Amino acid sequence: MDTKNSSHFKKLLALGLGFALASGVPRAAGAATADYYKCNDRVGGEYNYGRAPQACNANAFGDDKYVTGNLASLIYRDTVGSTERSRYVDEMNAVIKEAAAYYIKKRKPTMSAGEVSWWVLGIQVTASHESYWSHYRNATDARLKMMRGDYGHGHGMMQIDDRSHFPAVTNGTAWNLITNLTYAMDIFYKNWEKAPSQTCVTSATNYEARIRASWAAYNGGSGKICRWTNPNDKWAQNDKNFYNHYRNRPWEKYGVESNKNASVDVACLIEKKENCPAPGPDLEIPVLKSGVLYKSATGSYCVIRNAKAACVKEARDAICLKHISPYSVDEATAVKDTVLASYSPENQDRHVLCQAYEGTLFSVGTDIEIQKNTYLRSSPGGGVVTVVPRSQAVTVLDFELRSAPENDRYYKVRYQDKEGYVFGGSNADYLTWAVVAMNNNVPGTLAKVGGHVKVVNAVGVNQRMTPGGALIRLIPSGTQLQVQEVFVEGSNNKVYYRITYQGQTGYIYTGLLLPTDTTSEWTAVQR
Amino acid sequence: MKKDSSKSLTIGAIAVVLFMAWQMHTRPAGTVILPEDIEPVQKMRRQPSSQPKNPETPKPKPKSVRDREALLQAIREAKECYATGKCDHPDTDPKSYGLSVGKTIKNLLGDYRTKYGVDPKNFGEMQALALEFINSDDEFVQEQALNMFSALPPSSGNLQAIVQAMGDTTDPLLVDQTMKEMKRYMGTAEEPTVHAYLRELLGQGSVFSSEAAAKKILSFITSQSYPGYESLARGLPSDSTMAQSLRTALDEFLRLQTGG
Repeated sequence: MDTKNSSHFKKLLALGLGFALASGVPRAAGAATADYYKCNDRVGGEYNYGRAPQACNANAFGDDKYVTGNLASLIYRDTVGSTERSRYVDEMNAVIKEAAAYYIKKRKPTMSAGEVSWWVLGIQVTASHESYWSHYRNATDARLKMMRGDYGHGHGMMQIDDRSHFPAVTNGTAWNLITNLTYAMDIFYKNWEKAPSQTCVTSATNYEARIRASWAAYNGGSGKICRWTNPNDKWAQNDKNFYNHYRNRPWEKYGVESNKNASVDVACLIEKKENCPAPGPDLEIPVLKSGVLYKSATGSYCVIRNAKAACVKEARDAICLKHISPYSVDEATAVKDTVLASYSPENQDRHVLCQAYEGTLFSVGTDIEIQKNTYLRSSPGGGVVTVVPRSQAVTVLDFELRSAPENDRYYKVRYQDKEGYVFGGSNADYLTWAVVAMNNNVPGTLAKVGGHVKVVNAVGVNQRMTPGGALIRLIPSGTQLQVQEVFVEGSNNKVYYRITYQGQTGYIYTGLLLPTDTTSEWTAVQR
Repeated sequence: MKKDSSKSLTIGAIAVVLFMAWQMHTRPAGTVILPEDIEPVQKMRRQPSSQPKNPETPKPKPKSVRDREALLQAIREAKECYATGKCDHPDTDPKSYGLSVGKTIKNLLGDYRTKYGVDPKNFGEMQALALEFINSDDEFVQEQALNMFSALPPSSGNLQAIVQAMGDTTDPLLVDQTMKEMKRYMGTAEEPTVHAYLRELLGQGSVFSSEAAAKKILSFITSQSYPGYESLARGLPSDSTMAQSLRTALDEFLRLQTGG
């Protein structure tokens, strides 16, 4: 984004305004969503895997960098020869199967293995009929595309419709392949559960009918769940086409490796949406070594140094473990908890570890001044919420590092009552994106050093020797305190203030910033 | 004289047309134009006040009542469009017709709520509409039904209807709206129903709905409800984002009780 280009900025502001207006109308655009909404550089295609028509620039709904850096194997490349379709189908088949299986285990752990396999088939067929498993695509114009069907209303592989699901389209849920699939499975599952009670299905084990009914409702709305039994329905041909996909499983014609494992960590991506290290080789590993990233069965990420395991709880912080034991392959090798236990695993605090790894990272609580007109996104890679203008001061509420060794950083901030992430540059150019703000008057729920807060929690707040440490006393509600330090720790960004009360200095807890800011339950910033 | 009377008739006609145009112009955007809107003017002309009134003839209803009835009729007719499939809505793809019908109903319900829903004497009628349309398959319509409930006094029947309709919603925005409405039932005899619903949503709900609910669960955790949510959290997988949010909220509740 060029700050010197005022017309570009006007466009950005217009975009931001568009979203601001849209955000006031929860479930739809202000007017009916136009055909091919935000469809730039549209290209055609063919009704085949990876290239279903149409496709438009993906960056209208998310950051290309995330896709090319993390989901590269799931991009169909128009410029590659005849082997591309086979490769693509194998990659996508693995992702769809793993996602469907993980999803159903999560929703209905007691489902029989037989039903699970039918469910997985239902999702495969649905994705096949909706888009020929088309989602991201590198077209011949060298731009990253996302598939758009139904006059542009259908977004991505599962054709999330922008007339019904406008917020999911604008916040990037439909743009992100894994969330596109998860969001669609939420809808499909509702119909899957409803189907057995319908006259056109009659039995929970009539799986073929369940799949057809679930899809008819997915396609035409839940009132159309039995549409597939009515040959005179205006849209009966859709049901016939779907049934052809069901019977013929056309993807099998292209795939060569039907038992391939997904090249991305599907389960992690369903839970965390973005920024999960790819899975490493599936091996039995009895001895762990340094220079390798490991993932435990309970979801922690660890490295080994001096026969000790250093771990972080969150996938997104795995990059910071490079400070303890630099690893060059950004894949996480699965390791059993029993094996890991013999390395005395110790959890690292993300704030200490990541600051040590990347010294130019601004810590949570810092007021920064944005140096360029910068997108505020719903997630580090996700849809644009608005634009934060140059010179705007905001408070860092969270951070995320990506793409070693450049260490791109993203900061969660609040601007005009909207929360999201702004890009903060790499370790080479971070000062051109944001600097520490000189203005000490940034509004927000976090106090500044030297500022005052009033205790609002009804029972008061405990004063402790250290954050979370030995108790000194209870400070009653209504007490006003001056903040001497803002200290943040843990994966939920717990906030503590150092204060002096009745002559004794110590720390009070004042809430957490993730997943929801609770600081206003504890103290109120006095202005 | 003749000329004058024709002139005054012309002026009268212009005045009527201008009045109708003014009415249409001042109507909120997106509302449906109902032919009954012009009825009062026409009836007054056909029924000179000098004529003796027939005691059998019902007394003409005030305009606002007729408008309300016309609006209710329009809502009923719009709903019928789902069943007939033959109303004037675009049918260019499998979703377009239903979406258009739903949007019409949503707008009509919105008109009702803003024009008549503020008057307590219409609460019964608005409640009936909300109870009917909360069960719609269309999330836009459900959103409007929830708006109607929020303008009504809390009641056991309303809460039950919301719980039934929103039990399997896949829309995180509807979950947010539902939870906002349910806050009104906290501290009432209906509070256990709220917690039963939320526990069900967290434990069995869709991925996006349950995550949305877990993010806002803290304000529903009380000393009484804590054990139920805590028990639920214990049975959830450790790596689930929703479960992590729920556990975080439970821990935060305990800290709030003890001062952190």
